[in-house]
Amino acid sequence: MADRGRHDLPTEQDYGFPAGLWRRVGRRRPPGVPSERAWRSPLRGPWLTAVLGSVLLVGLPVVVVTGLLSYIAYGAAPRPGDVGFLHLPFFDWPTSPSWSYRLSQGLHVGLGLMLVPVVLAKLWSVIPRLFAWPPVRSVAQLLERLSLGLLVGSILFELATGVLNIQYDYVFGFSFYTAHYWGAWVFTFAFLVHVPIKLPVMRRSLRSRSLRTELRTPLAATVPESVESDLVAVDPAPATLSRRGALAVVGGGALLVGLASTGETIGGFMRRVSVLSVRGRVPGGGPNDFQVNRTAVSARITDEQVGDGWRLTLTGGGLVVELNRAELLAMEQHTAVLPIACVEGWSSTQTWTGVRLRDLAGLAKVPAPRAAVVTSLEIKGSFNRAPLQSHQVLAGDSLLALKVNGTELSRDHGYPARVIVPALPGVHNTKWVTSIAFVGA
Amino acid sequence: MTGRRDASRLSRPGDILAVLGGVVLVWLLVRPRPLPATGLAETVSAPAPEPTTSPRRPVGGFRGFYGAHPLHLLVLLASLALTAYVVGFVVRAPDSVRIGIWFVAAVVAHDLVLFPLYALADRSVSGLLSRRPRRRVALVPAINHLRLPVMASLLLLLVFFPAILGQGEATYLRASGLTEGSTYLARWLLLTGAFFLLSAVAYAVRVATSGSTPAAVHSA
Repeated sequence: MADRGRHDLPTEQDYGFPAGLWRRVGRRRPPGVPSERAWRSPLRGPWLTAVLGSVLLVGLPVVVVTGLLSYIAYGAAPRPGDVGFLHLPFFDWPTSPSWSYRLSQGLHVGLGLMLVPVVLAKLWSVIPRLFAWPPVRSVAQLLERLSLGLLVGSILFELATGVLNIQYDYVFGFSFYTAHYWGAWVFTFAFLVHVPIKLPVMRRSLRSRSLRTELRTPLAATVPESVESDLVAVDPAPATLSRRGALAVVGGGALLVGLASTGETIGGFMRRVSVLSVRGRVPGGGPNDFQVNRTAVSARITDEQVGDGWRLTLTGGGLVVELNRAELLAMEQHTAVLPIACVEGWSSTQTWTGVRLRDLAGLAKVPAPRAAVVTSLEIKGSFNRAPLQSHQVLAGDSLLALKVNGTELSRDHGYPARVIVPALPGVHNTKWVTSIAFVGA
Repeated sequence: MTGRRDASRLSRPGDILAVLGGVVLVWLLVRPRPLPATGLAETVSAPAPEPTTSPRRPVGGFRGFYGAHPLHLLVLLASLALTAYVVGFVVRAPDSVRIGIWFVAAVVAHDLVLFPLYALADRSVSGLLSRRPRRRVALVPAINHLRLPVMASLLLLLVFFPAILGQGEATYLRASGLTEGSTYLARWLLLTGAFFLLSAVAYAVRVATSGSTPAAVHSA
């Protein structure tokens, strides 16, 4: 206990300018603000807060960075559009490994959900500070609390909008992409200031107790932390849960949420475990029975559009090439096992067969396109047209798929033809393709 | 692509300032040694250098006026300025007011609704359970056998409530072709039942085995 005696309690000397004002405010505690003695949990203390904080210090940056990577993965059509300099450096999202977007977005959503109980526990551990009176003692504290408000507000906002969006509850009524993206930056800037300010306290607090000892300490021996801190209860109640028990509850909560959700992207047996994930279900046993992102009905695809009259139009090389389905099937067919991964965190790996996009580019006399724009039969819909970058057209496994798992694509999966490009965000794998415009170099 | 690359080039003075701010932040993050006692941290939770040996250093000058090290001010102002830059984009969004309301509502919902509710519920139930110790049963505290299943169930409800309550039903059907119906409500209820059942069995076992060794029940 080298740190015994160090105290984190505010003192008279912490009052900065204008001290008179802060003191006057301090004398007028409004009704409803609990007194210091009201916080009775013997578990609250800087060590517990630091342990939870260090989990978030590792976990939240992973969630933020994978989220920002998703923005890059959207390629030439990112959402939101103009973000000034607030994005990771742009790079061409690679088509290999094909599971990169699946992993990155699976981490973003899966880890984000699993951190919900950790964030709640962290907020619980420091909540006495929210009600401390006076609320501030200096301009420094005023600014810091403003920043903390942004930190807490943004993390809760991000978790709430994320949770709602992946479950199709658009009750918020604003653009998810816009709100979630900017919320992430508000969080990032508040986080980047919170971490250096608190890092020394966190390190000192982590050293103040041994994790190994805590894990061996039963309930009967659980007493409040022996440092003086505004987080340690003045009048602690007897412990009803050991400190290791509290950590197990939080960790168990994270595990529970992980089990209930991550099967939607891990797949296999986990799909049966993740019973609360709306995208974890396997609709049936057939070759086309995997998750659909947008049904043909909701895209208003008609029988006539996908009947015998359907043609694929290729443009770009100064000529217009039209192909029917039989002609496409007569071209060299390529088969690839590729995941299709959604921004919502779920994914599905299938065996796709069709014509290589680069062969189609060659047919259109644009063998080395700078880009391509794929258009769907779908008239309305925000993803009825998607840009592809040069390397995405040219990758060997990039297909205009005609078949999946050895059988015709179902209409919900994009019959008569759909794009499948390795590691491309799901919505950009255009279904019911009607034309591809290759852009020459 | 190329157009976007141009846009991403640092062209405005604000951008350069922001990057410099970022560099300072990164430097602060990767600095090997902890900040000195007079450093950033000494504000909200101001620790004294070594109170047992020396009384608190008299505070004057900038620190006494502002309440923390000048770096604290610089870093916070940089962060707040960058946040203002973000807000500049948000206000251009069609539903910016709604976004702002949700931002504030998220804090209010957690800090002033969710937290007081669960704290009050826990305190009330703990109080009730510890009031009348009666014979053998009282030797095994029931509180965590109640807390754990409740927490597990409510955590799942908190994270999966849109599916459980069928909130996104219509959109989900259009997207996936599948219906939710009461599938997720039923699953959540089954899980909740299982949590309580497991907890009850564990409690029963502990009560049954506690008679001879009352000390054992405290070793949770």
